[in-house]
Amino acid sequence: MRDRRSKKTSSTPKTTRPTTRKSSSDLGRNASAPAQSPGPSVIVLEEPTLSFRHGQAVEDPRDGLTLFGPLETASPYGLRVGVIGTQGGLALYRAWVERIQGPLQDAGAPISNPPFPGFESAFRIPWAPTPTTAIVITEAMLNAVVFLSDRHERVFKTVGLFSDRIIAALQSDDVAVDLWYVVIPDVVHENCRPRSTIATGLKLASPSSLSPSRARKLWGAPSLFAEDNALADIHRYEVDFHDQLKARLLHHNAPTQIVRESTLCLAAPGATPPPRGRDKSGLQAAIAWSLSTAAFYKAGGRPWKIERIRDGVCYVGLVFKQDLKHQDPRTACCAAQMFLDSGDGIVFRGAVGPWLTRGRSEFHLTRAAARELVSLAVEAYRQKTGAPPKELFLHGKVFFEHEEWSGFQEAVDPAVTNIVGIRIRDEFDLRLYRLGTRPVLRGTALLRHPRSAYLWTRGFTPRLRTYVGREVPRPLRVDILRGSADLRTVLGDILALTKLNYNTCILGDGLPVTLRFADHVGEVLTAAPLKEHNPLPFKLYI
Amino acid sequence: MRYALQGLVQVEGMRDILFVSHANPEDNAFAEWLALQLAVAGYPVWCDLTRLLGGEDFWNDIEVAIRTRSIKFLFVLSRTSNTKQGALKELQVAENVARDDKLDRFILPLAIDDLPPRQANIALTRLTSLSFSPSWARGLAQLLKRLEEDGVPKAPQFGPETVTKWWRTRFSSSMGVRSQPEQLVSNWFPILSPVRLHFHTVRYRPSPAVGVGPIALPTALPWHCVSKDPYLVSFAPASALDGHLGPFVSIQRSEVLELDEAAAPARRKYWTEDEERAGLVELLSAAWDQMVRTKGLSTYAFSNRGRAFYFVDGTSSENRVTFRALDDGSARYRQVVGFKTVQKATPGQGPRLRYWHFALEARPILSPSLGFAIKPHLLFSDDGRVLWSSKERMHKAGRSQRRNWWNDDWRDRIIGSMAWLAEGDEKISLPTSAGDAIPVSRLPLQFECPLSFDEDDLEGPPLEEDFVDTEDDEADDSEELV
Repeated sequence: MRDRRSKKTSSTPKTTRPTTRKSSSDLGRNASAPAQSPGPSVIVLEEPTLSFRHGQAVEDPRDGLTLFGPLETASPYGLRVGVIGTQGGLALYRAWVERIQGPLQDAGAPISNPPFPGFESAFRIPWAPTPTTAIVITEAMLNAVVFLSDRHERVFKTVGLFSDRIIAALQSDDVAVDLWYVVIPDVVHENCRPRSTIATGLKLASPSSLSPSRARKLWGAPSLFAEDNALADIHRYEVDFHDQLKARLLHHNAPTQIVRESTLCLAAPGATPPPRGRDKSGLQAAIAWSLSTAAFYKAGGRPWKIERIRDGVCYVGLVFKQDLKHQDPRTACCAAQMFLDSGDGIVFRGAVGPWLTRGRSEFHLTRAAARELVSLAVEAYRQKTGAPPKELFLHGKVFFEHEEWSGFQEAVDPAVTNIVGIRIRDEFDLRLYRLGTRPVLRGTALLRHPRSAYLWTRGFTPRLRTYVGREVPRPLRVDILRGSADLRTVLGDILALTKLNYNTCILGDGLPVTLRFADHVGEVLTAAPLKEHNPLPFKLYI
Repeated sequence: MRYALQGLVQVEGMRDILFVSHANPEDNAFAEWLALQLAVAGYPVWCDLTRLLGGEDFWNDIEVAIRTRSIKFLFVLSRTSNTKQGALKELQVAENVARDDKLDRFILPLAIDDLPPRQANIALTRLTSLSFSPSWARGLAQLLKRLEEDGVPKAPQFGPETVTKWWRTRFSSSMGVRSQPEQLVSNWFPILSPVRLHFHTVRYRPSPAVGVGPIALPTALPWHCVSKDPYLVSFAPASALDGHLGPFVSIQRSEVLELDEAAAPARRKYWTEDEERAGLVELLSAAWDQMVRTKGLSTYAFSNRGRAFYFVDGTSSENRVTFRALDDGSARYRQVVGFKTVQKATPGQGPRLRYWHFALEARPILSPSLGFAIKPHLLFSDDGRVLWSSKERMHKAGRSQRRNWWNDDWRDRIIGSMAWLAEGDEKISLPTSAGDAIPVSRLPLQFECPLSFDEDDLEGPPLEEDFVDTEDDEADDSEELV
């Protein structure tokens, strides 16, 4: 690596901010420019801390887990894991769980890449290598479906191979499982994605397959033959193994962890790197941290929460997903993900409707649908805490239309709850560079005016003594579009919410958890025919 | 060497601390973890890795510590410590202490790897080890049980808070951060003088060919205009457009308005605020493109309709841009075209080179002040001149090269390229009509950050987010599911 000598930085920097004229603003549609808009200024927000066992708080979840253990353990007797996969996959699972009993350390600086102390050392409960229950998918069963030429049938039947057996196991009384590990051969991953194609020599004919247009016709006018209708129904499911499996298990309250055989295999020391894809053999500790945290959380544990959170605050991330299987292309599903002080959220599905705005690629709800969606969240909050929230922050990626916002407002009692609408987007045009070689600090914010700022959730992180990422970090653009709130409080909350991704184990993510999984949740919601359902735990979606 | 003890008030003859002995650095990870776990559990503990853990008592002699203060000597037994001099020396002291003071169960071997018991150091052969392999947690549970059975006292000064406090002195978000402000350089380059818009009201004469109906403006006007029937909006005055609008269109009158708040009501007569935003972006982009064309620079179109001008071999002297550093004003330079040898020369065939070209895309911004956000890019060619046609190939090469480019690599090239465009002046002139131009600063907006940090002791490249989510099955085939 080339020499990276730090360049001397001026010890007495001069502010060279030019006097800015007031020009046409580029404020969001819902924002109004302040009467006296001061020039932009930079602040640095403190790194939020997380709470762990013994009431202790530190910044990095890996530190907290190693030193003190998780906030709340799932079950003192350990994780009850059901595993489903091929014989080879099951063996890989057992070998991997054996390996994470003890410590793992990756090459490189331990300061930025903390070693993994072993599952029980970090999470304070055991994870036995022998699963509670194991379901074997034979090669023959898999090969009969994973090479089918019709992609709808191929994915539906491959998912069914796993989901039907999990559902059957759930329905038997003698299986108590907290988490299902779905170990998939790489061929499932390769053949069961939206753009997958099967090599000619490997294809298996799907003699009774239907064309998409024929399937759509049958949805409207069912055939007299039940077989045809069943085939048409297959087209209602998303051609994606991951999303479809989650969707088909959603109502069975079965948290899953889908993992590829190659990941478990390549996380082994001395493993041969794959011809395609990334060699993960040098990432054993990182993989162990992430998979362990996700497993602990999905099995019912609370790894950590934000330490200092105001009383009575809740955050709701809005989710929209266009349903391309519908006749009306504007049709979309909407949902809200509610989080309090931890990443253990609840997902509320709202109404399906023509939410896609023509020509703008934006989703907006009607007044009634907006009211209904937020009412669900407020009611759930009230049931959980005994009172409605004092502050409700709605996080979205686009602006809020007037009618839509009126509906959101109607869902709360204005005398009790301050509802605030915030738009959070990736910013592609602005960069800030330090005069040295390293990028700006994580937590840096450029305040444009009292309702708008750029926030660097990615940047140099003193705890890690490095910047985790590539190139120059991009900020988020944060705009308070509706309601009133202190901008610094809003930014501090967003920074804290970047630390609640339990699907991994890192100091901070790029996006707050309210939006981090919005696309994933949307994909799962539309991956299977939509049914009415009660609010479900967030962990079932990720 | 002086050693710290955890602030305990020493009582004469009182043995109260757990001494952790280990091979340094090989078994450091375990030793530190163990010491901190014992401290969390409330036990006074001493380990060379956790000095100052709650105290300020110093020892000059480690032997004194073992001989006079240790209630247990915890020996981290591994293949390394079993033969390492430093660790064995401490073990020898502990063995002498146990024998001289007739201490029962004084030495506790903690086995952390696969060293067979029969191969353990002779001093340990008659002692039963507690196994920490494979699970540290199981070993710790056994050790805590043993300490309780043996009546080892805890100390109120020790506990979870002690560990948190100590940890924060070593690893925290304030490490290396100074309360000294520093300058942050943006990629925003402001326009230096007030911009005026010319609102031209046009009149159409019926065309014999078309009759009554809309008449298209000529596609090629010398100066860009935004059409908002019946107005043309431009940076150019009517005189600059006269004679170019075709035989059936003429400018009836013009109004010149500044882009300030005072003139906003007057501007609303012609277009809405949204139309003004879009129109300004269009006009400023066109003015930038015009400047690029006048300098004879090549441009590259991205899939998102953005355009960037790029340096080719020979565009700038020695393929460099020179500039004054923003911190100390010193003269600096940076390459803007370079190459990497991707295949060495073979007999009869020269080496295969991959040229990289620094490129700048200008995106108009309307706040905090009117100007341009300058976005840097990297483009590639085989010969230093003709860019690859494959966007996918370009993207892949860019990802690979950008890994080695840090904060200063991008910053300096942006500042250097803007200085090069300014040709020694303080501004880059965007022509808007004959004899008139919009001046764009060659220097970016800068902001003062209240905090800075020390880079001196930092090593190594930035980490890559190699692994983030446990499940990531995006539709994008380049993503990998874990």
